Amino acid sequence: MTALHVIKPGLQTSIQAGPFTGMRNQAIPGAGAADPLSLALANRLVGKPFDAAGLEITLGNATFKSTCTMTIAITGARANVSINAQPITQHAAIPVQPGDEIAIGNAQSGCRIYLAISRDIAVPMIFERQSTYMPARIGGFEGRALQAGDMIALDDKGRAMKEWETPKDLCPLFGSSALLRVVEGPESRQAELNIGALTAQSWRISRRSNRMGIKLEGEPIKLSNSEALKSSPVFAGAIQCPPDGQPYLLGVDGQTTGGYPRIAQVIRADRHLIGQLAPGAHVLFASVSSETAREIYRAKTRLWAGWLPGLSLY
Amino acid sequence: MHNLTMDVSIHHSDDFVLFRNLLPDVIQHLINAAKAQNHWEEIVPGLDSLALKFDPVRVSDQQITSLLNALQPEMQNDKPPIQRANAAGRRMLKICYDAGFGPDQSMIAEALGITIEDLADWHKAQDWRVAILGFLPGFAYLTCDSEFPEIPRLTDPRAHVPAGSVGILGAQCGIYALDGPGGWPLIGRVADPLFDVTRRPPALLAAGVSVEFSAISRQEFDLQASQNR
Repeated sequence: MTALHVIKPGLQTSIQAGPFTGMRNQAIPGAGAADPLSLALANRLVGKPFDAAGLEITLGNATFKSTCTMTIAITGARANVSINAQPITQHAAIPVQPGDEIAIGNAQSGCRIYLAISRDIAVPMIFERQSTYMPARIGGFEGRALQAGDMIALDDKGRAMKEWETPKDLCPLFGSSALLRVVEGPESRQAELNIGALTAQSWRISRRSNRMGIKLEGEPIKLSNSEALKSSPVFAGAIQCPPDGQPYLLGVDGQTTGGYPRIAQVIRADRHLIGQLAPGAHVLFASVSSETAREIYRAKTRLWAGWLPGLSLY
Repeated sequence: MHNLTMDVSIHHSDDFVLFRNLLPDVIQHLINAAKAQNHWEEIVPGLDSLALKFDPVRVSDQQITSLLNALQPEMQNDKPPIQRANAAGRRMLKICYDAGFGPDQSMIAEALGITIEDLADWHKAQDWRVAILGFLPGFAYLTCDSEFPEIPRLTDPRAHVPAGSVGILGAQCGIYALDGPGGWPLIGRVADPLFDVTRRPPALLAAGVSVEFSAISRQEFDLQASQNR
């Protein structure tokens, strides 16, 4: 069997590709890679489209064994990675032989590591994607996170690969703090100081964080009106403020509707960074206008077009 | 019913617009018109709102303005309300009120001030309509015109509620399209296949659909369930 054998899955490893689109009215969020830019960079090195399926490894500490010849690339959060205990570099296309053991250490900065494989991953598509939406157990590998002993079937056909690297100046760096740009949310005015309540301090990423959302810890935000709203659409990047004043930042698996005041919205150009916010890290928010936010997004995709043609973020 | 759209407001985010304070019929008008425009990544209704998401690389600011201008007439409430049956359709669901499927029937009946024997008839008699899908894929929130006492959330939510389960919470009826967790007091279970990832759209129900419940026995339910497999 041409496969990738999961020896140790780490905290949470799942198959993720581009997002489901047009499904939010079915209460199906986008899911897909929490950091789509890092997945795109890994896919680029193994000759796949930017939104092809790869493995998303949360906080690292995972081991896999290959049963076949292939090329891999590892991007995202920084970690020590090795093949048969020989250190390899991230952001490089690396050839792998049958029986080779790919070991990924703990994430040292950032939150999610992406592993792309030159062979196609053979899991069924749902809604034209191979992404996993774990809260509903649909998509990906049996709708769930990978477990020790799983064999991920790979296509028999390989790609002829070259050994190359992501240009150094294009490798994203993730630290223990991040800056995310936000626009006003529909209920920004319900927060005392408006969006200033969010931008005035640095927020700590809570341990209670996952692909659905991130709890932000800091001085509670005062709300002039904390009454629950009638359920209304929300998107990834929405910052909701429950009555306890501790904001909640929605991730790619976040629910499609919500009833808490939406005090801000992380701009599309910066949402991929949400996937790299690790528990204990800090995040600062800076306010921009929605016109500026769109221009930033357009400029960002133009900037990446040379290395990642067609890149679309979400 | 004049000037009810006076309070309609539009919130402009960087890659979506959100219409607020909409009447249900206006939401349906807007959904239909927005679908026909073929430019939106997502068209998502809320209880009294509607969001249209777009990709700023594919759609210019100028295009957004003209798309929204074209939707303006749909926000007026002076056109005849869409016949519910025409707008989003009507769906008959087969429900089994077996006590095993409705472990909270006595609690719900007590809160409503009726006997447990009358509960199924009460539930079937309401003019249920899907307000939105939310919470979990395909999960339907249903509302009805008649008012009834608020049903409290279970103090000890269940970790596992099977697909098809029907609950009453607050003034709403909820239908689980997939297995999931939750604190909804349960009244029965629907036999119809409510969600299928190979179907487009995957959910059997959609916002605006009128739902009629028809009671079936446990034997009929089991037969239907075996056919669905």
